[in-house]
Amino acid sequence: MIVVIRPGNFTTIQDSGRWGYQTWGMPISGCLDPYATQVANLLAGNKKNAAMLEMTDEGGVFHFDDSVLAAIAGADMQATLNGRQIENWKAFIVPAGGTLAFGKVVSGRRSYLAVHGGFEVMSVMGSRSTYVAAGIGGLEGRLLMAGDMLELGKDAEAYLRTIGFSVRWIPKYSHSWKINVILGPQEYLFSTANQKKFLSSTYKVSSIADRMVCELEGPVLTLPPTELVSDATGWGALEVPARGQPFIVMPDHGTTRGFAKIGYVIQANLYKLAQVMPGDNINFVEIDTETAVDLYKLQQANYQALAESFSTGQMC
Amino acid sequence: MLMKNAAARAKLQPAGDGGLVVVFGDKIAPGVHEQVQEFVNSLQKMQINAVREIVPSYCSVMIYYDVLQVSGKELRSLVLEALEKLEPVSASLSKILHVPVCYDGVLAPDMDCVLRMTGMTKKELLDILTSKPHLVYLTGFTPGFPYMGNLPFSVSRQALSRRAIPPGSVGIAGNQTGIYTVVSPGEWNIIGRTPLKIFDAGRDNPFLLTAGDYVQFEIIDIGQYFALKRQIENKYYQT
Repeated sequence: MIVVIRPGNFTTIQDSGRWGYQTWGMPISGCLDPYATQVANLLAGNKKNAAMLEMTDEGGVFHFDDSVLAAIAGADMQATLNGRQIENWKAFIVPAGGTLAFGKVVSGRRSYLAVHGGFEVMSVMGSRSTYVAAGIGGLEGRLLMAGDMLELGKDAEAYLRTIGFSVRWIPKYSHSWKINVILGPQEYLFSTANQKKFLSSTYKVSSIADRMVCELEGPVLTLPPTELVSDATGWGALEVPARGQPFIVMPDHGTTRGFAKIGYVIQANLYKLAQVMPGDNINFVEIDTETAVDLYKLQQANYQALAESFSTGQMC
Repeated sequence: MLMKNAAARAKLQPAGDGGLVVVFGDKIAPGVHEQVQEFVNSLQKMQINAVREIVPSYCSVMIYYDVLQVSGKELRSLVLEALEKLEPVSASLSKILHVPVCYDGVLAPDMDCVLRMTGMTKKELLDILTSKPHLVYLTGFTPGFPYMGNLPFSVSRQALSRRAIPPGSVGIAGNQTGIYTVVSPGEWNIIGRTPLKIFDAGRDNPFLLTAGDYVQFEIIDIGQYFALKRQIENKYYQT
């Protein structure tokens, strides 16, 4: 049992998402940083889809009744275990009666805590991910609160050695981001000049950046006055409403909306959207689909290599 | 011949490196809706492992796929194959859901505004809304929210977005009508509320409606609204 002493700013239970129900308007939800969550589950000896905690801006304080293998990945929230600082992107053993405390974020924005076996909550429509807007998944469909008690689950692989890995696997978070996009499906609604403006300007992440949407401040894009019929919109879509400020669609966003989509963030860059802070700068850089797929394959191959190095006990 | 034309006219557009959109038109129309449904049916029958999810909307179909299992080029040729094999979707699969709605007082905050915009009397408006079943073109926005289109009139949205529209609220915007399913922000004109839970994650079937179904609105008064709401909360009510 893990007791929540302090929940942190916006802490939810998430897994790899509630796929399969978008036809009925159910957003996918799930962890916003796919890379950090994959690595955290590896380090904690978990199956890929084990549920973990996602913390935003400021993490929580947790009391552990029993000893358990745990791992932290993603943003650095200056975690301490019984008062001693512990490293990010590493596995560690929490002793029985231990207190794991997170503070304010100092690098990146979202941090992930995985425990061996994952967190046991009821699966709703195939996922344990919290979707706060509909009050489903996670713990009663809501943010964690002080006093909540979390049970450990059974999503563990064979018990693994506690090993770290080379720093080259650890992404660097900055305040100035280059994010690759593929133009389309509705880029044709924008003039060439507007497309150029979008790709050559610096956008600032607004204060409205949550699990639904990441709003941007920067040059306004003009759209011809057309009433667009609602269509499907996915994670990473760059939508442009009538007022012309583009925003980025996140996994708790509605599944269909009537906004023009000038482009999509590539899959290999989705993790950046989890780690940008309000006020950070973003430059969007166009690449073609083939290159995007190559980057994604490389990322997945790296993950596989890491997974294999863990199961053989060879430092990677 | 008609099918072949549909296939030839469909446009394929990328949505990032893990999505492909198949576009059949740009207007809300029953004919386009049929093509969308037929294509979804045809693609589902092919049982392509690499397809993570198929999401239809008014005029297009989004295909989310796993690029580790299929290349964009391979997927495109599978889509063309599916387009060649469109066949009518059996109408027997669609159902009519009777949706009781109270169109009065605090449950209908924008009723007066809609009557002003349309120049209709309340009776005229309700006659149009309840005279025949409405086709559900798609469910989306929030879980289970049914989009019904092609009203014979059109109204603009509320200028200011409401922060929290209660579930069950019946809204109209443009020539569409829909039912809010969870507390959500919105700009649609709210003209009534149903006690039915169109979406309930705790139910065996969380969604009462799916694309292709029909909704028949029925007028109830505020007393009936609260009586039904109690029955539904106590799980006595059968739709």
